[in-house]
Amino acid sequence: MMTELKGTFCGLFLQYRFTYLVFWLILVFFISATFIIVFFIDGIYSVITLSAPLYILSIIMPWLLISQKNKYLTVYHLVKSSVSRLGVYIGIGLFFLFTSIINVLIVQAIKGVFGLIFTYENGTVSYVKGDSSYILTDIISYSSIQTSIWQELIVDFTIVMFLTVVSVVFATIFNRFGKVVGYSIVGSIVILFIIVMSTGTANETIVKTVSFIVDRAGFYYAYIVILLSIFIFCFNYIFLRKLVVK
Amino acid sequence: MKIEVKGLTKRYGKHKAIKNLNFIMDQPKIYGLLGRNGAGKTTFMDILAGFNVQSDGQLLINEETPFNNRHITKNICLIKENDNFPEEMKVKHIFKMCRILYENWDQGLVDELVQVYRLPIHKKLKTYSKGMASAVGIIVGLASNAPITLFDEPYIGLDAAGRKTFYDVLLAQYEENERMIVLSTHLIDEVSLLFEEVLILREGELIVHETADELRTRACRITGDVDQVNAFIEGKQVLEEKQIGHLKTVTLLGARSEAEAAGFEPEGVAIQDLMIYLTEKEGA
Repeated sequence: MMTELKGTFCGLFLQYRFTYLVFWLILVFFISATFIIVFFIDGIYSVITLSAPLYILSIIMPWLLISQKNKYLTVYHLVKSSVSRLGVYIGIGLFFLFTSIINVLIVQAIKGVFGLIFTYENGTVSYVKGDSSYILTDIISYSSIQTSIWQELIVDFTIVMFLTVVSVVFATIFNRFGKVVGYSIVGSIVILFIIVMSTGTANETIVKTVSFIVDRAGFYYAYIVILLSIFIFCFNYIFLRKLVVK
Repeated sequence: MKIEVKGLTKRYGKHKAIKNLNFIMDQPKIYGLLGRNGAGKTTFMDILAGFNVQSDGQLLINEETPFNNRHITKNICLIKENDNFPEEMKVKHIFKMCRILYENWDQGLVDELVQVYRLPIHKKLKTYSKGMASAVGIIVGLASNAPITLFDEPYIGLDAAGRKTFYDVLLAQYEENERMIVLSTHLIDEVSLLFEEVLILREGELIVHETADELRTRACRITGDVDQVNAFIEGKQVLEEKQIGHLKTVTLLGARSEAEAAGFEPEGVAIQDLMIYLTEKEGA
């Protein structure tokens, strides 16, 4: 198993490191360019949620890895290279775990660097010049509580992991069973969500739950989300274990 | 390694790609897997390599099924005509990954063949020509030193010199490290001398499983006067007949010694011709 994991991880790292590098370069360029605009032009109010693009990336990546048509390294290529389905699955799980940790660290590092230059308070970097202001923040800063860097890291990490896992499930379903089954499941979930939300009590419960999570963003919450992610990820192996390569 | 195929069947909807195959391969030899397009060669290789799963029957390698079984698949390397590796990956990275995944990887051979085929390994596979991309597959197949190495039309686009290099290295490697090599190809004339054992599939069924030597002597071709030849072939299994004026050439199944006794000078029939006849004729 170690050989499989090593090979899978090495392949994925060599293939996708450039993708991540390009992502971060574009993001750093974007936030720097935004700052320059704010610095030179009056009356501009800019708020950048740094972890939001990371959430989008964490949804996209599983679709790249679990795609029959992708020309990058995918689970299909790995199976062709004699890796077992279980080896591939654990390998991509470890790869996502590793990249999630690195990515949330980069988010904090970027904020840290900007924080050295500008005002850094409660997880938010801010710069005010006349009528213009520039704010660099992340998702947890929208809650009313005072947060530490650890909490910010944990919240980002858990959200990224959860989104990745959910994306892995949908990517697997769409690739294994086709668009008809995939869209049917998505449609069913959307309908179920609408029904639940239209019920007053359920709606209230969901709002309370979300508030609870946001307000108590700590290790307890993180453990629950991580365990839930691991459970969903393990469950999804059912769909991948009979993967056929053409 | 021992490959046991028992009643192997693969269905795609109502179509049966392979039908009730039964045979054993247990010697380290170079096997030729032949047949027309759609005969089921690729499907069989896919099941053998654990890429796909059969509908009925069994395919066992050392008593174990290869599907999702790393214990078995680590001993198998299947190189197909295309889409073996991601096009967006650098070739040096492909070799690096394979070096980890194949236990008997021969990096020396990789370095040597990269020079021979003049491959710019720092470039992505998508920038390669068809022939160069085929060379990458060939290099991985040979360097893997997998006890079961499968080549399914591995040299699409590779020029004659490149193919010759492949045959030479394949033989040299085989002599150095005897293993089971299964080669499926349509360029049978070029490789038939490499084969030690031949399997011919027709519409998913195994119609021939013989040693190459047996197969070569299985048919003969005689030429002579029309009346003489017609008299001789009476009641014999004729694969092909050609007539120009008073001369008639007939390809027969068996009957070599009888032809010699009757005063004909029987010629051998190439495996490729035999395969064509056998896969065309009913009841062969």
